[in-house]
This record gives sequence, structure tokens and C-alpha cells, in this order.
Amino acid sequence: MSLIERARAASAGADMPTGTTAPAQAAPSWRISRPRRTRKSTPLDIATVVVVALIVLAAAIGPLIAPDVHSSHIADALLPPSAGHWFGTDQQGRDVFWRVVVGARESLTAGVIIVIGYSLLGLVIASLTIVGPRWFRELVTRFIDLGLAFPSLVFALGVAAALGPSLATACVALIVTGWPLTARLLQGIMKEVVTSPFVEGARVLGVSRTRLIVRHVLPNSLPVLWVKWAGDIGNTVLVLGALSFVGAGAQPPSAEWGAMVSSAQSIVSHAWWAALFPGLAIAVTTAAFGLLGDLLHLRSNPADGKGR
Amino acid sequence: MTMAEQALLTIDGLAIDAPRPDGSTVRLVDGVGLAVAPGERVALVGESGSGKSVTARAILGLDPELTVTGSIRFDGRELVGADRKTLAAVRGRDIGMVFQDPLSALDPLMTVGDQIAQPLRARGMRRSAALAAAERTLGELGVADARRRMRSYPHEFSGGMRQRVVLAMALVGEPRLLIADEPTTALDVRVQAQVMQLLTDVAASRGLAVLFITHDVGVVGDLADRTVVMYSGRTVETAPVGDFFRRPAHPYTRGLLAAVPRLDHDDRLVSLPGAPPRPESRPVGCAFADRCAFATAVCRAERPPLRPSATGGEVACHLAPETIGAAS
Amino acid sequence: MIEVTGLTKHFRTRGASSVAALDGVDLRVPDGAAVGLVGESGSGKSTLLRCLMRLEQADSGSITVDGADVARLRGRALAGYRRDVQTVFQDPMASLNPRMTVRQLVEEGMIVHRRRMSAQRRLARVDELLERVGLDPAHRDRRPASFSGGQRQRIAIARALAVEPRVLVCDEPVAALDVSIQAQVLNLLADMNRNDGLALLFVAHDLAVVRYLCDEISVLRQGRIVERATRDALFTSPQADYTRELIAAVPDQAELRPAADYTLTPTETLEV
Repeated sequence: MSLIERARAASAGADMPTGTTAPAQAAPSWRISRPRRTRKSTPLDIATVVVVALIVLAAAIGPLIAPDVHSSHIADALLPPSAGHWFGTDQQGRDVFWRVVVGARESLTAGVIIVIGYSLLGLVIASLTIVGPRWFRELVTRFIDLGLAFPSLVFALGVAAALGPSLATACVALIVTGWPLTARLLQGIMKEVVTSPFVEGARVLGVSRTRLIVRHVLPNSLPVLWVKWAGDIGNTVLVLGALSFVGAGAQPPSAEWGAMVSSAQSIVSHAWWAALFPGLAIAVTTAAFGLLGDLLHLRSNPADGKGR
Repeated sequence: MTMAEQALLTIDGLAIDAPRPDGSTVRLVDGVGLAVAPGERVALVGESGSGKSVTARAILGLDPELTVTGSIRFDGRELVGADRKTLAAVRGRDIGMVFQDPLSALDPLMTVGDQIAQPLRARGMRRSAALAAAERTLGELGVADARRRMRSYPHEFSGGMRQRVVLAMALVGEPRLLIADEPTTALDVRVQAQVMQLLTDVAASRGLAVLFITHDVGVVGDLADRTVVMYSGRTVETAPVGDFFRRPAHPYTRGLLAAVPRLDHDDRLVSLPGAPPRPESRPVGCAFADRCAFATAVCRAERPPLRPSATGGEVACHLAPETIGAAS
Repeated sequence: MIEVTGLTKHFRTRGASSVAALDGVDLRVPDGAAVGLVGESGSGKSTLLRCLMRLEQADSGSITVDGADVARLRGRALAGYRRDVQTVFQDPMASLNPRMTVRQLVEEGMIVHRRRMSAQRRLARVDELLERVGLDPAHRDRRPASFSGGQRQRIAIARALAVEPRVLVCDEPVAALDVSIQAQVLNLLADMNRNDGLALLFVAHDLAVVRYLCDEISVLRQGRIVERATRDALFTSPQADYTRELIAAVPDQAELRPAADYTLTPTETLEV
């Protein structure tokens, strides 16, 4: 119980007893015997899963089955979409469709690495908020606040300028600026778990601090991350695309989607397909992963789906 | 039964099913009947999973996702399958209901006075008149300086006071039947006693019929005229309250009473082994058979019907009153 | 064996004033005894227990176990204290880690305190304990959510017993349970106290329950012990007004006692 709660409980005792003892039954007893209600899949759910599966498939086997997308065939430059080239060709004569497919691997892999990277970092830092003396925990909390205030895109641009722009430097920059949000989220949850009755019960049992964190706090705090990851990957792909677009991320001739849009800027008025399709790929990926995150969230918290 | 003819509330052959995610249904209440005469106080007693709360809530149609079959007649009007208009007319006007946790039943952002007045305002009464009625009702419930206290918010009140507020909300519309669903659970002993006394006094002064749902056998004695015992979604015994305590007919009722710690003797508490069957696996025969020391093959094979008992109530047991207990 | 002397704890409320949750509380729990503590909400009983479990520090006064100051225990001595004094909480669902299986929950105390035990021995003891509290060992790989409230409370008791404590501190352990399940748990606790010498500190607001289990009862009101007496003395001649009020509030069933042929005796149940 927090200090405020205790004080309230104590003052209630002094002035007027609240008169309540046992926790009131939260739900009628018949609910206990029912298995947890799972949400039925809607057509949107199925479409989401299919699209995500396709994107992951493209990332996995795209580069293996695609024809050569890096060498130029100037003779075929700037052809509009047709049976032979579904998305047309760019100014180097490269097939846009296959470049988009191949680019999936770069965008998605980078996205996953970044998300896992900052999540781990965030987890470690969040864990520091529940160990150690009071002043230390306060310090870490302030540190997280500081991190939250930091502008990530600007920092990424700075890193790019300093280390030379590439997909790798963009990844580093986004990991370094992405951890505060995860840390903040986990901090709140871990704090709640640490003060929950079963953790207290374990403390009373004599469980050591380390074991407490590893066996009790973490398993009950981490599930929130799995759901967050889906949405985050989508978001990261978007941000990466934006960075590459301004030249601070992947560089041409990379098939990374943002880089593709960037190099198609100059020709967009007469060869719209070279910019549209990679851009669309970014949008669809972000949306699909975002919806996947929603879907996962609703599956584990069916009560939140009432509005749907 | 002439009682049933003039009864205020009659429940007959009530069955309530809950939907499951895989499309099947599970039967929560399996053929229950009871009657409440005008001014009569009936206690519906059972443990968790007995279906008592579900039954009470079904009277006012509070759980639309449940399928209710059978008959619930209030003052001649059928409530099962009734349209919204009929239900709305009955709720808050003819039947008032009080729930277990007063804090969660109250809107934290509305003053207590406004909340009590709400049922009246919903019927078109002017605010001033509604508040006056609210004040009267609170006063009747023993709240001193009611007008001033009505301007407070729920969180400023103690548990006992909140229970009075919730009671006032149920009574302000001058209902003829009050349904109280576990009103004393989660309260301290002294507050419990106060609330029970309050209910008894109010019921007496208004000639109110009361259907009182509880798992706490102890509080039944002060208020009830008659008790109905439910087990695993079925009625197992009804009896006038004196007989309920002194000459319980059903083995479950006896086990229940013998399990309550007492101040007047030190006998070892009887702890019925096991637990009630889950609704999904309710037995074909008597639901209590595998916890009953007297169970026979007949008990397991056939569901015992509710028949008049030796003590003036009814009991659903193949063996009562022959094998169990003394001759009457 | 546990001795609480002059325990005091204040909480600061809005403004400069403070509230005493505990105000000079004295309590003794001798070895093998069953001591009851009766208090309503706001009486300070939760605070007292939390100080006892070292989840909180009192402002003044002391808690000693076999003479040693609980607040100063460290390392091995603290581990010993945690082993000797175990707790069963009110809400069985909240006090069990929902992600652990019954076996893991019951085992945990053994893993923490008896490191020499082999996994095999631990498993055997888990089964032993589950049987002792009336649960089927075959269910040991299930999670708490698939058990009823009464069964969860028994899991909690099994877990507490796993480390072989000398005292079991029970914080309203049966308040949330149905009457027949309550009787099962109470009988289990009574047996452990009378047959196995396990001392009990039983905290509850229900006087009849406390009377069933305890030999000596203290009444706590707003942070102060207003009465302490043996069980019989408390009920036949209560001294404090508050105690009288509490006794009066228990529904009077004296005239509503079942006639001899209308009650079940313990042999008429299937209880083993």
C-alpha cells in the first residue's frame, strides 16, 4: 500500500471506520467457472494477420527469390506499371516491385533490432527503479524523465551527421532514444507488481531480492511488452523510412523503402510509381503492425474491446 | 397454496442459462420456485455458486446476456421476456434493489441527495419535490441532519452510511418489494448488525416485502419470516425461519447450520467435504449426493422433487423425513 | 515466544496532524498457543501484522522473537525468523503468484530456506503437504486460477507449512470463504494447533470464529488493546464496552439451535 492509502486507511479508522472488511466480490460467482471470453475474429483481424504474414514472408524469402535488383538496365528506365513490371521501373531500370519486396527485409530486420534493442535497454533501466536505496531510485526515475524529453529524430540526424549516415547509425540512434518510453511503461507496471500482495507474500516467505525480481516481478511485468512490440515495429519502420528519406538512414542504392522514396523524389511528377509503391509499403506495414498490436491487446484484455 | 394466489412475487420453474464462448450454454439455475407474499420477509440462502444472486437479478432482468425461462410474476405481471417499458415501470417503482458493495453502486461525482432523488426524477418529478422525498427517506433510515448530509459526496461517508444511502435510493420510490443482495457481506460486525436492524425496522414500518439474499446464515434469524435454501442452482428446502434453525430437514441445510461457529457451544464444526458441483457437471440425480453421508442409489439416479416437509415447508430430498431426523 | 511491547506507529495525514495507527500495543504469542486478535477495519490490525512481518517499521516499541529484536535481524537470523513465522493472508487469489503452478508455489519456501533438499525430496514433501491440507496432489501442476477460493486458501496454508514454521499468522483467512469451506479451513487450523503444536496468531473481526480457535483473545480498537482475556472470561464477563458491543452484534442464535436429531454430527459427514 502506498503511503497515501495507508494514511487514508488510518485516518478512516480514527474518525469513522469505513466498516468494510473483506474485499467485495468483484464479479458474480458464475463468472469464475467460465473460461475467459476470447474475442471472435473479425474480418479485419484476419486481413491484418494475412498482411503481416505476407510482409514477413517477403522479408524472409524475398531476397532469395527475387531477380537481381541492384544492377542497372538504363534501357528499361522509367517504364510504367505493366504485366512485365508490376510496379514499373525506376530511373536505373530496376524493377520496383522486386525492390520493394527485397526492401522488406532491410526495413523489417532493422525495425526488429531497434525494438528489441531499446526494449532490453528500457527493461534494464526500469528494473533499476525498484532496487537500491531511495535516492538511487529517484535518480533513475529522473533519468528516465530526461530521456523522455529528448527529441529522437533530431538526435538521429545529429548522429548521422557525426558518424556518417547509414542504416546502422540510424539503428543506433533510434535505440538510444527509444528506451525511455519502454522504461516508463515498465517502471509503472513493475512498481505495481512489486507492491502486489503475492510479491509481499513471497517477501514474507523469505525470498531473496534477486529471486523476487526474476521469478515474481519480471514474469508478471513483461507480458505487456509482447503486445507493445507489434505496434512498435510498425512505428519504427515508419521512422526509419523518414530518416532514410531525409538522407540520414539507409543510403541509395539500398532497397530500403525510405531510400527508394528519397531517390524517386526528383522524378515523381512523371514516374509516380517509383515513389508511390515504396511509400505505400511503409504505410501498409505501419498500419498492419499497428492493428496487430491492437489485436493482441484485445485478445489479452477482452474487456477493452467493448466499444468495438 | 393460497399463499401463491395472493403472492406479490411468484417465481415458478425458473431456469437461467449462461452463454459460453464456444456457443454452448451452461445452466446456472435449474428449476427454482419461490413466492413472497405482501409484507413477507424471505431469506434466500446459499453459498457461492448456488445461483441465488443470479435468480434475484433475473427478477429485474439485470443480466441481458443470460437466457431466462420459466415464470417470474410480480403482482400478476409476467417479468420474464417483458419489454423494456414493463421492466422500467417495475424497477425503482414497485421493486427496489440494494446490492452488496455500496461504494461501487454510488456515483462518486454526484451528491448523495441527487443520487437518492434520481429514481424519482427519472419519472418526471421536479427536483425540489424529489429532494424533499430523499430527505424524508434518509431521515426514516435514521440519518440525523439529512438535508445537510445530502449535499456530501459518497466518499465522505462511512460504509454504514453509504449502505443507508443505497437503501434510500431503493426505498424512495415507495416500492412494495425490496430485494437486498448480500447487503451485509464485507461489513464489520457492528455495522452488519446496524444494517440488519435498519432493514428490519424499515420493513416493519412500511409493511414492505423483502427478498434477502445472503450466504451468512447468522443474519437470517433477525429479519426473515421464511427461508429458501439453494444449492447448485436448485431449491433444496424452504421453511419458516424457526423451523429452518431448529428442525432443518435437508442434509445440506443441517450441514450448513452445523458449520457456523457459535458462541454458545464448542462442538467441532461440521465441514462438509468437497465442494458443490460445477454448473457444467451438475449431476442428473441429487446435486448434493456425493457430499451426503446418507446418499443412496436413488439419490444419485433421480433428482428429488420439492415436496412438503414434515415441518411445514418444502424439501427436495428422497430420504426426508423418514431416514433423517426424528419423527415429527 | 513472540512478544510485542508498546508498539506505536503514526501516519501523517493532511496538514500537520498525525494519526496513530498503533498506540502502545502489547501482545504475546507463547509457543504452541492460539492467540486471537479481534479488530474491525481501521483498528490497526493490518499495520500490526505488517510490522510483525517486517514489511513496515514501527516508530517505537519492540517486537521480539525468543528475545531477539525482530527489527534488527539480519542475514541468517532474519532468514530464520522468516521461516519460523509464516503468514496466511485474507485474499487467497491475490496472495498467490498467478503464473506459478501449485507445486512451484508450495516448493518455493523449501527452495529458499532448505537448500540441501534435493528436487525429489521437495516434490515428495509438496505432495505430503497438499494431502495434509486436503488437496489432491495430482493437481499440483495447475495454476491458482483453476481452484476455488477455499482451495486456494489451502494452497496458501500448504505453502506456509512447507518451511515448518513455529507460528502461523493468519490475517482474516476465512472472511472471504463460504461457510462450509470456512469450517474446513478452521478445522485444519485447529488440528494443526492442537495436534502439531503450531502456534497461531489469528486476526479476525468475527468473534465466533476467533472463539472457536483461540485460547486467549485481545481486542484491538483504534490502535489500542482495550481488552485481553482468556476465551471463556472474555465471553462470560467482558470488561470493555467495546467488547460488549462486539459480542452483542453477533447474531443471537441461542434459541435457534437445531434440535438433537436435526443436526449432523461429524461422523455423519464424509469427513475423514
